[in-house]
Amino acid sequence: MEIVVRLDVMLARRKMRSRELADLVGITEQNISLLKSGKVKGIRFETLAAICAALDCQPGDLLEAVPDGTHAG
Amino acid sequence: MANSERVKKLASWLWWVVAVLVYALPVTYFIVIVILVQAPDWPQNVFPEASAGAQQGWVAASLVIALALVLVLPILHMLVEMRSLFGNYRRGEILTEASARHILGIGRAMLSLAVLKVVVPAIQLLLLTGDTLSFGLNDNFVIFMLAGGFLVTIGWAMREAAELAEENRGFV
Repeated sequence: MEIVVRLDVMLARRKMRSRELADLVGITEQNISLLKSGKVKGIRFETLAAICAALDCQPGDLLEAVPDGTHAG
Repeated sequence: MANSERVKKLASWLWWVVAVLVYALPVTYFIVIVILVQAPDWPQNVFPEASAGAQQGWVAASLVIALALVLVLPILHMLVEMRSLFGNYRRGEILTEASARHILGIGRAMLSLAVLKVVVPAIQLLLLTGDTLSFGLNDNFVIFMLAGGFLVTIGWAMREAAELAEENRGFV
């Protein structure tokens, strides 16, 4: 299994830009971009909680476990 | 963050000190040796134990001088490692594998120096007298061994810290 970040989907649903989210969460836009592309080793609970608060969603809305090799990202 | 700023500031000063010493120390050491061997009875002056029956042959004398120069090698290695370490620190590269490696290098050089400072004078005395072998363990040996061991341990610990920092950098 691999964990896929669905942040771009939630951003689209909430019609929010990455920069706005970065400002609300207090991390850089570059880190938001890395999160969206899944190029991070992990996400701190603190960051996850801040993103959930900013996007009014649950962690499960942002993260999804998919079988290996099925994610084309 | 205040700590890393402090490290950068102090490392900048220390880098300059070490950068000067890297060149000044070997030159000074060489000059001191040249001055010492100018005196006709220099073996007795440097090694009072060699007062009776010291060999004055140029081969033995040359080997004694060459061995004296060997002692400067670990010091020089230590200074070069320090220069690299402070160079890393002043650029803000504190918890990195390279910095940990330099600390390890300084520790190992210090351990080598502790051993050489016991072995080299013994060989020099043997060369001068032909029959006297004497090892002297003094408080310097203990201090250098402890400091070297301490730095090697810190180097290993810093390597662990660098790995953790690298892993932490992958988190957002």
